[in-house]
Amino acid sequence: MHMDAIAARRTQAGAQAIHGVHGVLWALETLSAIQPLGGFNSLTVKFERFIGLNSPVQLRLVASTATSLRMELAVDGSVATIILLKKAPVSQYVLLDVDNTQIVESGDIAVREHSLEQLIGLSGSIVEAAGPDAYEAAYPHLSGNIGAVAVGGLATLSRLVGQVSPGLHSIFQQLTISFKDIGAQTPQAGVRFKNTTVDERFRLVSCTVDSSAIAGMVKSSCRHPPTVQPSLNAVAALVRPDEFTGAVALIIGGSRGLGELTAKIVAAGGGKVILTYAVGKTDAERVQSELVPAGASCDVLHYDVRGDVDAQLGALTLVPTHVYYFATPKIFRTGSAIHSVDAHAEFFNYYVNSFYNICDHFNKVKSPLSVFYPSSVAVAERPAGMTDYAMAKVAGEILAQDIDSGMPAVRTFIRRLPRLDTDQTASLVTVQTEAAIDVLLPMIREFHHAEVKHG
Amino acid sequence: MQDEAIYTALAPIFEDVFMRDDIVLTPELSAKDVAGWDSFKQIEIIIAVESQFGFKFHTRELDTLRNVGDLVRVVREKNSAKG
Repeated sequence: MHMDAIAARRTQAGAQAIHGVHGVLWALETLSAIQPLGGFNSLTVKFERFIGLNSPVQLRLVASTATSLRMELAVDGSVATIILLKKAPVSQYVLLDVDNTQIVESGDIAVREHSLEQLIGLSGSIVEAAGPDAYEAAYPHLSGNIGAVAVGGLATLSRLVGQVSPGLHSIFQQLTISFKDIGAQTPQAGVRFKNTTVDERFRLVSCTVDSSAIAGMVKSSCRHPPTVQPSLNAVAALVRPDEFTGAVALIIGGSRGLGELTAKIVAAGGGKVILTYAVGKTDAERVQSELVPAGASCDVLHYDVRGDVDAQLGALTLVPTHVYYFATPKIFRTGSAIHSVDAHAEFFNYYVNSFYNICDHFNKVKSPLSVFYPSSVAVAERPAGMTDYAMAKVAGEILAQDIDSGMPAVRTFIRRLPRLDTDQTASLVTVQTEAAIDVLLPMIREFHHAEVKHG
Repeated sequence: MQDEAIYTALAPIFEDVFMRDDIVLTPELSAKDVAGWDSFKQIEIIIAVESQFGFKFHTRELDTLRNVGDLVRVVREKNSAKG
């Protein structure tokens, strides 16, 4: 989620995010430039929300006493990181039984992918990526306060969580660290770690860390890997090979999730498929590479719903009989406000404006067309934090109904989908969801077998 | 264990989880009343409570937790069961 834009959109962040520890170091450096940190030897950090790459970040000094100092990093008014400095006794954390033969890393670290079972008791050491001079150059004021080796130790915690333990599928949640005396610090002696507890219910990993400069505890989540949709073979076992013959399905947002699954269902039933992607070209081509060798017709088209419809769909060589509109921005937002003007505008643009533009495009072509509008049970159930999403979806429903009656060539088909297994709904907390194909297949059958208009 | 003692024990847990000392625990207090009380915080609370009281919640018990009052009730019941 930090380096690769395509991979990042399949994580809980939904887009590239900065390293949380990087934000902390920036905050501490900024503070150190203003006032000495003398005496503050305990640092607690909670990473509350992702900070998107290039997002404006506000550093707030929230409270300051003789023995504690609290700062926050905020994005769009919401707290993303809480940083608490304290004058406290030297940490009582003692690292025991570290088996350095398990993992010893230095230099460029290959990203590891661990199962929860593999994380139990995992231990080792990671050498800082650079020498103290590099950290001192990047964070001169902070290094002057806590020592450049300690700065390197903090930075190494990001490598620990993101690359080693849990590794690839991780989210840094919290760190509680004590700084040791600068005089005792040894350059590039490495940070030793040992996982002390792994809570399999919530996929939480607690890890003790220790170096010549820092000692403490790191908590992180081992998130689920991106959701994998059923294979074409698995789908074909549930679909008659001729039940969608004659259909040409244009699937907007077909590179993954429900769009990918719909493509497989239609293709398994003998229909032709045109997948569109906005950024996930690799994902779209992965789906295509599964369908075409099996004898299916599958074209891939770049299409950004926010762009000009006529220009982008003018390249179509097949005339669609059916359109599936799965285009969506990130659904689950982390802001604390009930309503966000920006979030609402983005949802509305995807679910209303862009949906209308596609229907209008095909209505002008005057070729009979059926359009699937996937609404959501969130419209009725109204889960917390989804107000803007639900408002936009209900507006889209109203629009789809009026398009059905007002555009002669276009028939719309509206269904409220429950929460289904996709990257968008991936969660650390176990959420009972229905199998997507069990929900989607009956709807697709109903959609394809209903009469079309003859405008 | 009396409810009052449970509330007293829960107070520092909420203070630690939310890093705030101004949250007043009442039976009606729920996620909608505290900024940032999302599923991640819920997990933190649950794990901290388990550590504090020395038991594990069952999944079905977690499903019943709608507010602090529910949490106190489950803690009381599980403590009673421990004897």
